Amino acid sequence: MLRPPAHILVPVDGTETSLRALELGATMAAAFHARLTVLTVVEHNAADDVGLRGREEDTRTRVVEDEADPILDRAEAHLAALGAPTCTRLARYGDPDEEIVAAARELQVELVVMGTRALGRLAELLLGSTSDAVLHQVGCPVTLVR
Amino acid sequence: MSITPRHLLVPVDGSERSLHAAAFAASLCAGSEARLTTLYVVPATSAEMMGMRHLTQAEVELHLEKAAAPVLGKVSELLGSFEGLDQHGELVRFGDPADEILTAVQRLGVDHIVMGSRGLSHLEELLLGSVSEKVVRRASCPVTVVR
Repeated sequence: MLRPPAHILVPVDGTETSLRALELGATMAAAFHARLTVLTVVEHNAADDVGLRGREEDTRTRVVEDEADPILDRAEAHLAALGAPTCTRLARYGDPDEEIVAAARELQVELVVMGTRALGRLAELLLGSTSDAVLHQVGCPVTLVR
Repeated sequence: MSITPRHLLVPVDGSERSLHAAAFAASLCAGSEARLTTLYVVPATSAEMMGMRHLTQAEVELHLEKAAAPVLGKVSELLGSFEGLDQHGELVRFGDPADEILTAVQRLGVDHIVMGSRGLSHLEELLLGSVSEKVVRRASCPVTVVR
């Protein structure tokens, strides 16, 4: 029989929905006595790549950290305000769909909890494209939060 | 925490994955005040439902109970092994599974759904399963899809 997840991954992007997902992820981590990892993906686009090309590796790392740190700080502060247990922070650079799926696999997490970003009149019927991709590609259970 | 689930709904269909979903939900509920309701939807097309129109309410309920007994029996046996799970209810409906799940969410004030990803055919297993796909897209509360 399936045992409760021992490691939960919550990808956050600074939006309210992702903080709600973090709250639920923390609740579930407490209920399951699971580890909690909070991930943010610094989205890359072609312009960034040009800007970062040829730079020292640590320059590139610093650029990623500059973007990721405020998001992770806010997530951590949110958890602290809720009295939730501590989490592990993780920042990755690239395509959010791919990086979340890759991080889930590499860390061997057993649950992903994430917000769905769906805008506009058809919001009810649509999922955010990232949550849709993760839901279909990740091998473990996924909790989607609106 | 404000988002702590108070009433979980687990739609079950007797499959191994739906039992995994029930176990997941039970361990989430155990030791908390949360209620857990298992729902079995006897799949029925609208034509089949038209055909049932001549039956009395009691006859329909008897038919549904019979259809649901093997599935709910299995789930109930599994949930019995979880300590600290004291508020467990069962519900049987008939019709389109996704529609009935979403209706139950509204009626019962469910704030978290846990369900298996299994679809109705082998092809659908490769995807998410039509029922979970529809529920994930339409539900207003968080949904956990267990594989």
